[in-house]
Amino acid sequence: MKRPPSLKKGSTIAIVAPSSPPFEEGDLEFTFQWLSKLGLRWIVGKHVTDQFGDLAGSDRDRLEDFHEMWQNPAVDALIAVRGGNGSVRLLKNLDFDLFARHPKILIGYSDITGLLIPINQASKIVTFHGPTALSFFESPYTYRNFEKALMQPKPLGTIVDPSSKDSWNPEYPPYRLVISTGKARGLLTGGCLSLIRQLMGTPWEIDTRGKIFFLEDVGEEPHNIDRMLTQLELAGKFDECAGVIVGECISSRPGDSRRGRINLNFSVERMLREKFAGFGKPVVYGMRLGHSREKFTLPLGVMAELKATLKGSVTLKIEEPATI
Amino acid sequence: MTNFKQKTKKKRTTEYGATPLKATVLKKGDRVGIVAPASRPDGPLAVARASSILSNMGFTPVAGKNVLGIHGYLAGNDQSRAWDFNDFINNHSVRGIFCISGGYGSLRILDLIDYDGLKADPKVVFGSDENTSLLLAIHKMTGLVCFHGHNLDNVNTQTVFDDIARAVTTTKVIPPVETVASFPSGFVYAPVNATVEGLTLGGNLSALFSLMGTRYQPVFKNRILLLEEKNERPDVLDRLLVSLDLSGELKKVGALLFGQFDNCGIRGAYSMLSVEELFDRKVQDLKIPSCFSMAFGQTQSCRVVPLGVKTMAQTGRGQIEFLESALAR
Repeated sequence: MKRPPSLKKGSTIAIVAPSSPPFEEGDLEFTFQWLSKLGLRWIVGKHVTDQFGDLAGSDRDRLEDFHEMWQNPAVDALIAVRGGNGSVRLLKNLDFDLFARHPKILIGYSDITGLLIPINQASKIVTFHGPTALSFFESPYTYRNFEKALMQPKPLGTIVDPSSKDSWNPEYPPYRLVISTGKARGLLTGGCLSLIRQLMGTPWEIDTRGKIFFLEDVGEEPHNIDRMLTQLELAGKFDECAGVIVGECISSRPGDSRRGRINLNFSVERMLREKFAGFGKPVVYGMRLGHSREKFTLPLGVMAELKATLKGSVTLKIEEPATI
Repeated sequence: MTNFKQKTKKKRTTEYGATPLKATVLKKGDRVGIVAPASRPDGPLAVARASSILSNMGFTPVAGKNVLGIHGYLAGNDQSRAWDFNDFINNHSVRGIFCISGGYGSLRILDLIDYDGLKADPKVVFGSDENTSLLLAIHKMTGLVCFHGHNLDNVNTQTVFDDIARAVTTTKVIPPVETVASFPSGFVYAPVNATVEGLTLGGNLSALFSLMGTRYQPVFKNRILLLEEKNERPDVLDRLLVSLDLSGELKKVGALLFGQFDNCGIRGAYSMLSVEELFDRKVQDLKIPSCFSMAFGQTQSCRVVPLGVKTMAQTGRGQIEFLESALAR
């Protein structure tokens, strides 16, 4: 597993849109301000604000931007402008050898999972499940974790939760609910569940063997999350992994997705508690790692340790550096 | 609750023999079971109505013991839903098993179904929507021809009733399935026009896709694939078709016929591509013989389609002609 070089002051970030374009172009102005604050330079892909359906231009144009930026020796990292839809459409024609020859930081989440897992597996380089160009500054917690993961070649160490702003009205779920106890050590892999599901049956299907498997999603009813997890279960993905981290799934409480269902259904938590009863490996639920405003950056392909105890304590420690 | 010890070995390329397994045709007075392998039907009224539908067809309906079970969004827990299904499989006097409702949950009981029992005593298996996963898993594991048709809680017209009654009581070849009536009459949209022979396969796209990467993943080669969906966003459906392509399976099918995609529109987002356009691009790109608007799916204009029988698809005419019967004498 190769690690990309860390970012330093003066490094150049390429802003790319392998999936969907920003909702409003002007949103990128904030990105530029915050990149300046980090001492980074930037270059924006030609087709980032193109529109074709919900995609940032045709498959060919998005692919061209992506390859061009990766080939450009001045570019040190690629950051997705947004998720949305469309990354998986690029897989057939991606130059995985190029990524393997020149490891660079690739970061994003949501639909970008459709690139993070395949590139991590096929090019054998560390990729980063973390905020996009439009969201790395959405909270101090997200920002600090982003900076820490990309800008220093040290192990990320123990993951610390966001500080609770208002303990009077805490937001469900708690950051760390123990669904199943145990201790696991393995390389990190995972991402957005809809994308992990979308890769099933393809040559880029997720490999969870001996790994710590993290997942999260947004705007899905609990039964839909159940369906996706059951597909992975039937394919042996939970049997094979060392431990599971289910992140907070935003807008996925019963009835939340507003797909016209009433809200007295089983929750994601209840479904997880049943599915993983007697699992014998650690499963935790609630960590802020995906569509939540606060999220930490998780490097795919890096050794980590996950512990979940009967008393309800959870430790996630990233043991190795993600960059060199 | 879940048995994680159960190792699922992948056998993706298993092909069953040239002669598929067929159930015996249903006769007047035959006992037939009603099951809810997914979500719960709408209470006792729905079960009574389903029973009435089956008895009006001349059968003797038996409702599964747990058909009105409640377990969150499921009609009872996995064990009880599977128990009902297996109870009917293992009861020789029951000659058919009809699903009453869809929703979600059939996928969860695939490892619990007694496939060997069904292989030993093949019987009519009938349903759609989420139950597609069950039909396709049974077809994969046993080779049995299963019936894709309205779940009983969605049988709302005499036409649908008559179509079902005919499909399960005849050893003759059933009439061709065509596109739903259109204007101007005879209009068919066929991105790739061809005549192809093959065995039928298909059902609800989400349910079918949920089998990918598992040992229940269907064998797509040379199949006449029919797909349908209800209440889903076009971008989500596009994801699934893109993945079927990436898996390398989509280009192996003989033909791809799109049925009804009820309430799968762009929902007011004018810059979005419709599900038809997204699918159109894909089949043209892969040059897969294809057409749209087949009478296949969950609306009342849809027909029963047996899965696993020889057919000839003429996409330009928007038609599949059955070349063999779905049931044995």
